[in-house]
Amino acid sequence: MLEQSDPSVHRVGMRKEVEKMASKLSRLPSGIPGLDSMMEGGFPFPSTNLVAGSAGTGKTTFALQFLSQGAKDGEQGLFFTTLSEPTQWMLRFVSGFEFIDKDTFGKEIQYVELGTFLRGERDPERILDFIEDHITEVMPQRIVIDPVTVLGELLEDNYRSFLYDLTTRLKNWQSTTILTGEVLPNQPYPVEVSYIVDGILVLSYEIAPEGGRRKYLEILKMRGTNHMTGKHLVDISVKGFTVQPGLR
Amino acid sequence: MSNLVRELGPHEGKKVLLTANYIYLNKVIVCLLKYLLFIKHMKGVYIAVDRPYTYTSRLLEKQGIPQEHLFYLDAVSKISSEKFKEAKNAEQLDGPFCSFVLEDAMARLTKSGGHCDDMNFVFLDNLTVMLSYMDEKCLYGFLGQFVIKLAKDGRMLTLTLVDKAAHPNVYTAAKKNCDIEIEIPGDWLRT
Repeated sequence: MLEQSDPSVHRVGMRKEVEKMASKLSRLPSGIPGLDSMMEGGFPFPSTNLVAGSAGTGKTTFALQFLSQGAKDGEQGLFFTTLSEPTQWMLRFVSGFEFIDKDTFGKEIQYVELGTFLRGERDPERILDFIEDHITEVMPQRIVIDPVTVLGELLEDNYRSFLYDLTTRLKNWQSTTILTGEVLPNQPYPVEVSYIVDGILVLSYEIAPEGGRRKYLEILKMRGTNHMTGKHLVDISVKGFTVQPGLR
Repeated sequence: MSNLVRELGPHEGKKVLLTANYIYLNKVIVCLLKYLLFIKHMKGVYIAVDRPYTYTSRLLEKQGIPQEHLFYLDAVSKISSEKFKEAKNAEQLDGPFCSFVLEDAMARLTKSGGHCDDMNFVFLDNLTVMLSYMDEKCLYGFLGQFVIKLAKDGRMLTLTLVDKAAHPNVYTAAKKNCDIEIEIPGDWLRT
């Protein structure tokens, strides 16, 4: 069953308040076709946003497309890869997407192997220092940490305070950040991260009646934004990650 | 950088309003302070309202810009989760709220024999974010005092206002209090 959700259908009073609020936030286009119309034009700037999903839901593709949009707009991006996949192989597998512009590799989009650093480091302050060192060198408008959840296993009791410091500092460094979060199929989002981010986007899939899987995106939270709710159909093709708002 | 230097060059001693897209704020800060501190060897005061001063300090350090002639007034660290970093060239204000900024910051800036006595410029970072902490009336009041008191002795005064499209009222008020506006397009700052 297809249904259309029109984000412009609101009570007049609330709409004016939201417009007033929206005008005060700078926004960055997400680079994901269909998504910006669901969240008043893009991600707030600065902000930290969790993109959570289980394996194969498109988290890394989403994150790269976000950075690619920035590169196209003349912005600087930083991609920190943790202990999920080395940059070498991640780029090889994504190089076929049409949104990828290889000329931006190492220039408008810089890739940092945080995973290599994490192998020998458990001190949260030194990890933050490593991240900030790269930020102050590159001065990015967009940052990705993919995935952030692996740090929970490494930092254990220090994880919550680390996340608090990380998200605070990322915003103070004037960037919009995507933190990807790995979850199990029956887990909606990593709870520890959900409390301290400004936005939560959940990627999921369900078995379709005709067999196979349908992929979905849902905006659970987006501070300062009148966003669409509910699950919306996602397509991942050679063109990249696309959301079809209103299609469920 | 060279574009910004060219535009700023003839404006020493004047009240300058800079406008730029908020997303390039770090680059604006780096370019501007590099010019003022490193190239012109000026002495200045940096009023931090957007984030604790340590972020700018670290940014400048990484970018190789000397800070011995830059004095920080930190208006926001008291309400951030971060401890104020004590330093010879930094003081903490009680907060970014109306009364603190208007009285405390202005008193320190204009105090005779104080840190700011021999400074050539004052850089406010940034006007837009101050609206998060005070209403427009207070902001305009601060703006007026800030400009009038400091411009009296011919110091170069720099105001930052980014995203004038998002805050047209503040932009208009700031522009009235300035001699010159320099709009910094993204092209000057892009990679």
